[in-house]
Amino acid sequence: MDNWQPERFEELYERFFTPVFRYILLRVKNRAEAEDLAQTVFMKAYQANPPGKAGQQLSLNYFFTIARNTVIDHWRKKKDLVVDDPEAEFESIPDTENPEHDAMSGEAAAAVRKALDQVSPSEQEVLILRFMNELSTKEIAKLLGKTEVAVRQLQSRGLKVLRGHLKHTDI
Amino acid sequence: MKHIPEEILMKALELREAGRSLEQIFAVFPDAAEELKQYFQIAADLRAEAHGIAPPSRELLRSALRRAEALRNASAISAKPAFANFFDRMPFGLRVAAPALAVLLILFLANRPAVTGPGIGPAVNEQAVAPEAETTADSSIANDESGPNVDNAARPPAPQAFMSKAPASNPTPAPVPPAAPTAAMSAAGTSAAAPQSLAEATDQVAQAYLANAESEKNIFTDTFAEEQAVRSDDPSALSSRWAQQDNEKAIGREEVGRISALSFSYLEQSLAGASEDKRNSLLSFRAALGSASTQRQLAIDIANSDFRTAVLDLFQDGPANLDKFLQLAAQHQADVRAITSDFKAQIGAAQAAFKAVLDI
Repeated sequence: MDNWQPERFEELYERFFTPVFRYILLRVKNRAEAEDLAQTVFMKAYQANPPGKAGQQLSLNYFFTIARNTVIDHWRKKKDLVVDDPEAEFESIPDTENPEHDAMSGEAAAAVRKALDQVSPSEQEVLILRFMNELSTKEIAKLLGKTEVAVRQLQSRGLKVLRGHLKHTDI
Repeated sequence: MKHIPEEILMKALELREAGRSLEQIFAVFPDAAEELKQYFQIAADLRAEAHGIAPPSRELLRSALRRAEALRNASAISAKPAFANFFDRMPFGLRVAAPALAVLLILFLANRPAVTGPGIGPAVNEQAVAPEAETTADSSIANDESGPNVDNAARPPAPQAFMSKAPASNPTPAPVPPAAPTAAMSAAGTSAAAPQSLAEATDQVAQAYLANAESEKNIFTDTFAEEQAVRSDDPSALSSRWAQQDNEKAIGREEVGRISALSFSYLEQSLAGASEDKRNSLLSFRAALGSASTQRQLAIDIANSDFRTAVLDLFQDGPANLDKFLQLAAQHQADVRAITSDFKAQIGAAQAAFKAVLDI
């Protein structure tokens, strides 16, 4: 993807909206907020790269970078308003608006989500990007400004914590 | 409880990412196979959990596109103040020289030999026009039809241009021009000559859209490679096949942008002195084509993404199920055909409505 051009706006939405939305949803755990934030990401990208100006490389990683910052801003604002209680946060996770999926996954899905909350934020982010957003280790490394080895380490440590927690909860 | 060293898990994850099968990885680390199996299961659970998340609704995507369009228009409208500020900040000498340079540039452009205007000579001028049109299309990419090009965005458009944008679909029923299979591939893949009349330009641009849609339909209803992968239980060839499909799609879409730029350039110049109704009908025609095209592209891309994800899922647990694949393929082919058919109807209606206003 080259520089930002207004004609590419639709194309960019088509290509990147869903992965960006999924990433945000998994981080903020609230569908309505995720939808708003995902749109905010694209508006920010547009405003940062007005037509005609030599722009950034508008890759998926670029949008993920904005998405990360948008989520962090969102948390910061939210933290000012409510007590940062991880349990309360978990309880606020709405289901996926997909009844079939809910019925199928049930406890296992809840256990996976809950276990995901037990890993460190860095490990959680890497697990979400790698396994849930299906980015390559190389892409994640670039996005997070880490080496591929460091990303792989976070992956394996996160998986170990998840396994320990899932074993503990007997799921 | 036995714990495998972190290095082994990292290596196993690396091998998995590189496309090795679980069996191959277990063969590399036989002592760790049981525990690795659990980790890969957790990774699969995470993936399944993500796939279970319903993607944003198409309505949300559509509303996002509308917001994008509104933002783009607003940006075009606000271009003048931004330029004025920039102008104010220029050194005095440059501020004096800039208008003179602009006038010289306009005079130079106006005095160049006829380029895309009506009545241009065929052979010589086609040579002169094609490369320029191509450059325009390249800089404004394939989706040129869905919005103003860079030049248009840089200057404030006339207010009626936005007011008169047509809705996405035109309710006027009209015959759908048939797209012959051979024409479908060739029209999207070959260079178009500069049109010689309004009717020719209108047909040319509509035909380019139709041919490209037909071509994409042919590309994406061909599921032979996927079927082979399922039959041989080997998904390794899929990524290159899909990359090839996407490449063909991108080339086709770019070609439509190029032809579209050429045809609309001709139509704009030909209708420059025409009545407001006719000029507005051109804007409506362009907007209708762009909107229908964007919707079709979005729908095709979503259908492909869903199909590919479903095909990959077939390989997740044990040998892929051929019956299930055949069902998926049939559904996917039906979806792509329906999307293409809807699109053709929209293009046909827009084309007929535009021609009716121009009485051609």
